[in-house]
Amino acid sequence: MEYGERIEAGFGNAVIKLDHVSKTYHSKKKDFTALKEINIEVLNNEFVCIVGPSGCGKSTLLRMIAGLEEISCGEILMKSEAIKGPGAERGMVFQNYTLFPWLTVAQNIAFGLTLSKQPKDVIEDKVDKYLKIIDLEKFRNSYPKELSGGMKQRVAIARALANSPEVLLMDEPFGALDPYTKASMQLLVRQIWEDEKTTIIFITHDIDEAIFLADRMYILSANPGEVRAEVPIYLSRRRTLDLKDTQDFIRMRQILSGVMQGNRDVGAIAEIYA
Amino acid sequence: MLGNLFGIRKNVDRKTSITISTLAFVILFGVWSLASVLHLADESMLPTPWAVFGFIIKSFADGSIYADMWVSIYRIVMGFIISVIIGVPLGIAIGTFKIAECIFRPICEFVRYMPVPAFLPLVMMWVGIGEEAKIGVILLGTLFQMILMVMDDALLVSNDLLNSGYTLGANKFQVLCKILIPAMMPKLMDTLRILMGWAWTYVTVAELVAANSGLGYSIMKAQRFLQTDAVYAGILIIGFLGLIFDRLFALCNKKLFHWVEGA
Repeated sequence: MEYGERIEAGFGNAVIKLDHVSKTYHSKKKDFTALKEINIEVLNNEFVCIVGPSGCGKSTLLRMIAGLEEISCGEILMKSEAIKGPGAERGMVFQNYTLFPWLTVAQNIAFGLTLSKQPKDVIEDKVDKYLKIIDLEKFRNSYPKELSGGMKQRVAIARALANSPEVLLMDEPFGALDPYTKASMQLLVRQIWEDEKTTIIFITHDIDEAIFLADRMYILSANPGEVRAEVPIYLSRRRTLDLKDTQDFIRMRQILSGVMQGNRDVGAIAEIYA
Repeated sequence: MLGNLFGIRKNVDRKTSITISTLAFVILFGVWSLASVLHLADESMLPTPWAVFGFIIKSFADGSIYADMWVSIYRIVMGFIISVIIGVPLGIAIGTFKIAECIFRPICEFVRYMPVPAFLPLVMMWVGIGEEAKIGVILLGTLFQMILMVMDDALLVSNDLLNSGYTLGANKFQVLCKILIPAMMPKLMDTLRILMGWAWTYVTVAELVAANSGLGYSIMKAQRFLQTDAVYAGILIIGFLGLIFDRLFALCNKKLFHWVEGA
């Protein structure tokens, strides 16, 4: 399905909808608005990136969607129902390594499934499947301390996916990785997204990463965090790393990073597809 | 290579470091020997090392030390176990739930600065000078520290680790039992290891003041008869026992928590 068709098919079918969401921190001296009147919709099967400079509150935004952070104002809906707290239907991959160090790779992946008391063979099948997807079958019985940073994040992704969440939330998961590992992880995530037909909301400050991954992106500005622009990314559905060297990609990066940093007017976005 | 000995956080090979450590002991022993042989101090103050070690060997050989040793070990283990049964759950609760923190933390912070030996007369008035008194002193000495140290261990577990549990569908109870507690285990065992050392101090205090058995009492008794070598021997035996307990704890931790990162 091409992007336009996907949008049409999913229109009005927002899996996640942020309705005038704000976040304010109160202190004795003055109130600080971290996020102001955010309206975001994420459709079923969509890959949405939220980019912004550091301090724009994008992580807070994702944590609010996860139900880990309270909303000051507005509402976050999942399939028309207000989010009240964290839950298995919204899986999350964190920037910091959050594998359970006392469990093996296989046990980490099985964690969510054991919580919901799935039958043993179901758990085993899922663990096998995701170990294969992340290409770490050899490390099935290893402990997290034996893994590199990139491997750890792969297991974290598998752990979240094995739980079959409806939405996968990713909070700068590759922020701490070296450029080479980062690129291969981007490819892997895009691949998984295509094969597994999940919905992904991905936070990053790396505009390059956002363009490569997203179907659609929201650019946030800082102080207060507001949606500055919403940009559809019309790139081929099947993406390979050499895409990053194409003229289209480079042009897009120039314009969008300008918009993100505030050096360019939002109107410049229109030039991309002119 | 040897220049590394004086470099900030530089490493030297194992052989060098062991040689130097052994040398330090030998020098200490030598100074002690020399001081006692040359009568730099009165013999009733500073016996010769061989007199002291001779006494230790003799007391093990004729079995006269065992009764006192087992009594002390029994008191420590009992006091420590009771302390763990109360202190660990309470510490975890304080580090996890605000309500427990509000109620117990200020009390513990206050009590832990009260000198435990000063409680001895009170403990003796409460429970006499029986076993309860010694166990009571160990309890008083370790419990409040333990509660606060366990609280710190619980607080050290990262929020993201707990949050990843929630996003995998865990409820509060599961996050507590399946994430927070297993995650803090290595730190907790380290805390217990440190407190075990303190327990040895407190049992000795209790036995010096109010006891008719135990290693502390044997030191006290030897002092009355001016058997300085026995006093030294008693102190050294307590030191050795403490060291053995500590090494056992360390060994267990290493085996149990092989998964700890950076270990």
